[in-house]
Amino acid sequence: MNEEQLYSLEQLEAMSAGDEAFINKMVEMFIHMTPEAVDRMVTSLANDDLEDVGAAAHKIKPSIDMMGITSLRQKIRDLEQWGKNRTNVDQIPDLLDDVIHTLNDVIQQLKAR
Amino acid sequence: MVYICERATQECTMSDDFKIFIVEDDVWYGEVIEYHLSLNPDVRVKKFTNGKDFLKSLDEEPNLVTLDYSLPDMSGQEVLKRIKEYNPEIPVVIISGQEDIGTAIKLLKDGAYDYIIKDDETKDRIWNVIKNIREKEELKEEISQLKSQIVQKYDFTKTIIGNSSPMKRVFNLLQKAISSNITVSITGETGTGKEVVAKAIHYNSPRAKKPFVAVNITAIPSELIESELFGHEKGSFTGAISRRIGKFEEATGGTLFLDEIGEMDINMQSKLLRVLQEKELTRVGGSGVIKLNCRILVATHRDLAEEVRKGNFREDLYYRLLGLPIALPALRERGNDILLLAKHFIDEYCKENDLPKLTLTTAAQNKMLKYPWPGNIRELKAVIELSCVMTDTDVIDDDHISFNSTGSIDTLLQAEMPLRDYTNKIVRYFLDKYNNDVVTVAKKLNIGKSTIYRMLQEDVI
Repeated sequence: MNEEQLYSLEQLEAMSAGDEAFINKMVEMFIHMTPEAVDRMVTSLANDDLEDVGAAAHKIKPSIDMMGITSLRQKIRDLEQWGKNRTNVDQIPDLLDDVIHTLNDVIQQLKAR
Repeated sequence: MVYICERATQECTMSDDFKIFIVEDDVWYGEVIEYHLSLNPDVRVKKFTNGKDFLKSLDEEPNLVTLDYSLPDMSGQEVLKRIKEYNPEIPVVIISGQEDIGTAIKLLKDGAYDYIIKDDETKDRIWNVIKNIREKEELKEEISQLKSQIVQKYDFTKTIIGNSSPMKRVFNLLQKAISSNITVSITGETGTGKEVVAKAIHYNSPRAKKPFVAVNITAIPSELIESELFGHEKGSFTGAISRRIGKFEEATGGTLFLDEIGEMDINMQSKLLRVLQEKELTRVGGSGVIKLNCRILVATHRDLAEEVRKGNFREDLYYRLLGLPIALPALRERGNDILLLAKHFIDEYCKENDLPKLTLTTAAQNKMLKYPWPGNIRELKAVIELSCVMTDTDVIDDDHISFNSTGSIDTLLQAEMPLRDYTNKIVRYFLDKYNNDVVTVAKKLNIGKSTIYRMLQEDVI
């Protein structure tokens, strides 16, 4: 597992003036909803439904930004656009793998927080 | 008396919580917005993740709806339409992940209050929207209060005073004027209250909430009147530095009151006639046609029928404007109304100046009833106010009442004085006029100088 902290709660802290209850709620929500989105992307890719891969990426984009996962900032946008427009089709599986890998690491780190 | 009285029925929403409905299928985003908005203690937030549940709760009357453009069960367009059908007053802010100008414009045209893109600044933008909406609501509330005040002010059962039979006829006609949309032509001597009547008609009619626009034809130079009434486009004539809407357009949905219509020059009359016939106008220098949607009231102190005979007023325009004619009686024809009005003005004056109540003595009343009131109600009001100032007690006596009439011979005759007093007055008038030059006055009046000297010695003039 990656040792470096992949996320940052700074934004949530700044926004809520350090409101622990709120931050915990958002973290839990992220832990809960991200695997659902990952499953959706995997299934849609298997069905060659690239538009839906893009749509799922679009949906988790705000949470990735707000959780401060900077390494995914551009990748999730690429995934969204490539899926939506069916461009760089041959690179999508690798990109998705990469994203899922990072997301899993983030969730592990968050759980261990 | 049936008059339409608008009351402020609007509930006081400002002291209540500000209710925001968030319609957002992205739970993450919904949570963030909810949290952010709930930081304000008087904001209450309710979240919905689909269109159906939200529409079922519309009857809770939210103060603001933030609407995600792409919902799982229906499009933002559809939801917006349903909200606007339910209550067009509810502000709806569309929040979308996509920057699509075309969609944004379409939604704004369909009545969306604002269109916000989901990004880091979204929450601040929503704050601004809330601030604006609250300010707007406060203003709306204030306007509706002011409007109801105006309506009360022009409740003509209170502003138009009189029990005399000519006034009863006027009240009867006013009822008809209020309940229809007909053009009304108001005639009457100066000071009989033509504008008061026009306002009373407007503010008691179904158009009360829309503007009342008054134009005094004599107050506008004849070369400018066309652009004043119909508006003009930028650059249509020297000095037209910007586009301007005319009084007809300003009065859209409301009432346009053309005062002193008898003074309109004959060229302008034909232009006005054309507009009234076509029911549409074009701005000076413009080409677009604007539909007319205002009620017309006109007033004049002239006898328009007479002006038509003399050729000063177009006959076709006369008939088009005649509509329902209301002739306001002169004050001298209104008998005891003079005293009713006098009492009204006394009370008004005392109230405005925090004075104890004043009453009129019988002598004062008789003096007023005898006077011909050439300046009508306007004059009466001025005379009464002066008498209130002149008295040192709580009664107004005949000494306190002085008429400063512009001095027509009729007024003088009305005083019913002995001939000798009239003579004295006339001599005094001429002496004042010619700087006490007895020689000149004697010549003018064809009387002897000694007569004048004698009058001066006797101190009768």
